[in-house]
Amino acid sequence: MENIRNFCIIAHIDHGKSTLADRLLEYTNTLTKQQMQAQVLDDMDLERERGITIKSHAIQMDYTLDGKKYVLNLIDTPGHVDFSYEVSRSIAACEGALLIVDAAQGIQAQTISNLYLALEHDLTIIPVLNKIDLPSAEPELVKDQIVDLLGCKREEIMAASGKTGMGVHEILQEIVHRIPSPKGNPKAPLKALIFDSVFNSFRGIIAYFKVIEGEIKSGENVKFVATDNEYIAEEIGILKLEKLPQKTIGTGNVGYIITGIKNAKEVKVGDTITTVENPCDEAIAGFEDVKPMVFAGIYPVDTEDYEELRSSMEKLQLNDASLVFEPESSAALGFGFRCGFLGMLHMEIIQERLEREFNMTVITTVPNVSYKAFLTNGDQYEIHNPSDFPDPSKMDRIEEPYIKAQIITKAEFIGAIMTLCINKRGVITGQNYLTTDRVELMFEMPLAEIVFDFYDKLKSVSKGYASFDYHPIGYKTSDLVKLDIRLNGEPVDALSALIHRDHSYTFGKKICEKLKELITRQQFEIIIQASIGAKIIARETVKAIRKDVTAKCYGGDISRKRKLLEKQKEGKKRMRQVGSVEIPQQAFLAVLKLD
Amino acid sequence: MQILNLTLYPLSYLCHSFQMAGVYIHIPFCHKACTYCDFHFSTSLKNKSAFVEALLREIELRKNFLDEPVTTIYFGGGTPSVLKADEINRITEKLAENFKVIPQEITLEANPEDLTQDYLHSLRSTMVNRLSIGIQSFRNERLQWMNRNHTAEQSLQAVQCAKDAGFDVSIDLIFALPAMTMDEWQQQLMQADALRVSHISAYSLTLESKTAYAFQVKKKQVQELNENDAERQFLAAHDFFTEKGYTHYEISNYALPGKQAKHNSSYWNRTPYLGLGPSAHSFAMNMRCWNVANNNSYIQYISDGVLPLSCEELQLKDELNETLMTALRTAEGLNIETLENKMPPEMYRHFMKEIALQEKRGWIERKNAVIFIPFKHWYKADRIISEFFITT
Ligand SMILES: Nc1nc2c(ncn2[C@@H]2O[C@H](COP(=O)(O)OP(=O)(O)OP(=O)(O)O)[C@@H](O)[C@H]2O)c(=O)[nH]1
Ligand code: SF4
Ligand SMILES: [Mg+2]
Repeated sequence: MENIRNFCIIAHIDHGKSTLADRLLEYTNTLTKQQMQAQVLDDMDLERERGITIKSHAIQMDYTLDGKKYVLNLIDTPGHVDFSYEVSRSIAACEGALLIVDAAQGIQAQTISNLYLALEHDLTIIPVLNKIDLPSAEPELVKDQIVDLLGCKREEIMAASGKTGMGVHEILQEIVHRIPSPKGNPKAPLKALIFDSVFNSFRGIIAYFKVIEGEIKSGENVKFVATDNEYIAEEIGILKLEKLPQKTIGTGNVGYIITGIKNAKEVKVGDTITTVENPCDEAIAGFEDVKPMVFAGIYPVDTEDYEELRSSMEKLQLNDASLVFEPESSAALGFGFRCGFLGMLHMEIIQERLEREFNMTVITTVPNVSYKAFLTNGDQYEIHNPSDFPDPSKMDRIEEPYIKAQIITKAEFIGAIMTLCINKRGVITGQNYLTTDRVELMFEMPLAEIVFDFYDKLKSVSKGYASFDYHPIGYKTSDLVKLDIRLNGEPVDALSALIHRDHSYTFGKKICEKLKELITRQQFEIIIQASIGAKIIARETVKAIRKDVTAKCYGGDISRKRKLLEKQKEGKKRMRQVGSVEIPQQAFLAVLKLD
Repeated sequence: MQILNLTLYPLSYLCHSFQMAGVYIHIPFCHKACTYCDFHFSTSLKNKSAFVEALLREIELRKNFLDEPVTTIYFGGGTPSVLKADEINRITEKLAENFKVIPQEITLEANPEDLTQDYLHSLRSTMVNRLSIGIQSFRNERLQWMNRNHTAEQSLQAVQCAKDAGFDVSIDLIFALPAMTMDEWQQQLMQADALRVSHISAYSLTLESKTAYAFQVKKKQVQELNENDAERQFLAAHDFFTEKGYTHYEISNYALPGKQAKHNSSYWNRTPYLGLGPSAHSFAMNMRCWNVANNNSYIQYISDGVLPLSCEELQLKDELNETLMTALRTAEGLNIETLENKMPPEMYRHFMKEIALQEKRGWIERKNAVIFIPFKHWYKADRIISEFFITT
């Protein structure tokens, strides 16, 4: 056990975690030349296409130092805020963390928040100054920042480049020297923490765990404490690039277990595995529940696929413990689920993964944050869905969640960023020069304003030189209205949005225009209206196209016409019929694409 | 989709054994360009004779394309009435040399200004027995806006003379013109009926890109007629002509009993046809081919002995979709029994489910094994048909 080191790599987005992981794998000969590729641990197609890590990825390396053999369990984590739940679970399986800081960009918002996550779990931190090969690197300056932040010694900071491989040998040595081996009694009854899982359609559910105490043996009868189900450990093993079956996995080590479970509900991330014969006294504390930031409805395009969507979401949830959902129904869309996400990127990824991994075409409705409704009769409840908005005659007030935002940027962008924040109903609460050129700005603003496109806007007004972090500070009364959309007079509940009264007119107009653009011309005229209560505040018309039907249909026309109708039909697969109108999938998210 | 280069295929590949076939000949010349038209044509007649020579050559080059007897020939365009009678004769003779021609219906599209007594007389010496006359409107101000080359009076005269000369006559009308009122359309219908021709095609004006009409709409000089009025005019034509004894046998076509256009019907019932001339489409077995849509390159290639053809092989689903598409545009409808053998069981089940759904909506009706779209829904036929389309 004293030869095991469990560590994760944490950092702000894009600071080079996955690339450094590549080098560690390479220098420990964990991968063959053929297996090696850039960001090899980002093995999901979505990760490769977008160039970001979405899932934490654990892998085991063998390493020899001074003639002694070590087992190093590495977990590469994502840097984007929307996937921070991945980071926090990985941390729970480790004793140490490499805190990577990009030598050109310096400390950024997620550097700080991920560091705190690690410190909460008493992880040993090894600060790594990465990308020092970059011409724009400012190693001394960034070292100052790191010393400030960690209170560490300057010499403790490792300089490295995931690109050239510089510093990688030293990092490996320091992992062995500085990170403590796992503690835990090997003689005690088995206690293993499930920190991740995935559904495999052939083998059932694969759970990833870290043995806290005791050891787990292949073929043994095990029990999942929270669900109180018993299974046979059909296969256990360690995680190389592929899974590698083992007879036993001892205290402190990380591995996987396959029991043939096919029902997604039987496995819970955070659960404890023990043995039936000699169970442990108490379960491991597990993980804190995720607190979703945004809510949106997810509906099958084809109403018949509701049950299949449910089972797909349950399976996806195994691999994304930050996804929460509960059934809901909509007059326009039928049965579906109200889902909670950690942010807009998270929502997008869930939708994509449902399509790619489970072949489910879904409609995602207008996202919203959760509000508190107070009624005149003293009742109070949470609003997760515009349809929960109270009848104005019974409403006392609505409160909306506020956040404290911290933005670090270059001095020259202060003006533009302030304008942006004020437009988003923000109030500045502090301004702090970190250096002569770097400023920290503090704002209080409604969460609803930042979850949608704030981050993109911030990036564009600051030309990318702004990092952003936020945390909730409670609720404040707000003048919100429910904006409804009607198509040919019929309200489409799935298109309703909650919005501040001051923004409602411009918003209503823009959304009608956007919908007009997205709803393709059909065989009928379509009237799009935005209304608040009974009052229509905007209107657009989508003209019909039918004349084509009676155009000349001559010999050469047949294949042209066939292709046209084929295209119509193809398009329809992604459309949802609401009354007489077909609404394309993207229209439900039209709100997000307004400027 | 697969675009094949025909030169790689032995011509016999395209041969098969149907009962009869049609020939379409595209005459790519017009006196003037009509405001709304996006067909392939040139307004300069200087290449006409070179074109006729090329056409004759093409007939030779494609002599193996059809096995079955040619029963219908259709001169379309463009404006085929720019051809002299002897040019027409040379073409039909060349066809007879290379194919088995058993003429039943030989149609020439003609514009009224060309149909003089003399011309009609000379046409009597050709195989042509049917004229499709582009009347479009009986109002001179409309004809002017359309940039047509004739007046309403010329149209009336042309139709009368053509009938007197013994031709079967079909006329084309256009509705849904900008700002057309129901009154105007009713008048058009009455004037058409007064001519007592055996066949009438009524098309709605459609906005095609890169036409003068599209330009005017973009510049807001004219406005497209709204869809509701257009649909009302469509239905009015149906009521009117049906009342007058015409059968509304296809979305845009009306005929007196026994006078349905044979050649056009072959497009809809999957009879093979050979298309000659630039931009012309051919269809045989499971291949659709089309000639290059450029007069000069057409003439050039053909004179070099090369067929400027692109081909597309139809997959089973394409085949089925086309059958659905064309059959459901007709009053006769689609016999679904014939499909059961062609479709894999899974597809057929799905198809039957779709039929039941559309029947419930009232969009299609069913008589024994035949399904059809009721007249009142014809105007949205495209939409209904696309619901049946097989996509995978
Ligand atoms: N010049 C240079 N570029 C690097 C280095 N390390 C990573 N990069 C580049 O930085 C970008 C981000 O690298 P990743 O390894 O994907 O970063 P990450 O921290 O894993 O990103 P997320 O997982 O999405 O948070 C890529 O374009 C890498 O090629 C380095 O040491 N030097
Ligand atoms: S409508 Fe007929 S005559 Fe007019 S330009 Fe087109 S092809 Fe030529
Ligand atoms: Mg990464």
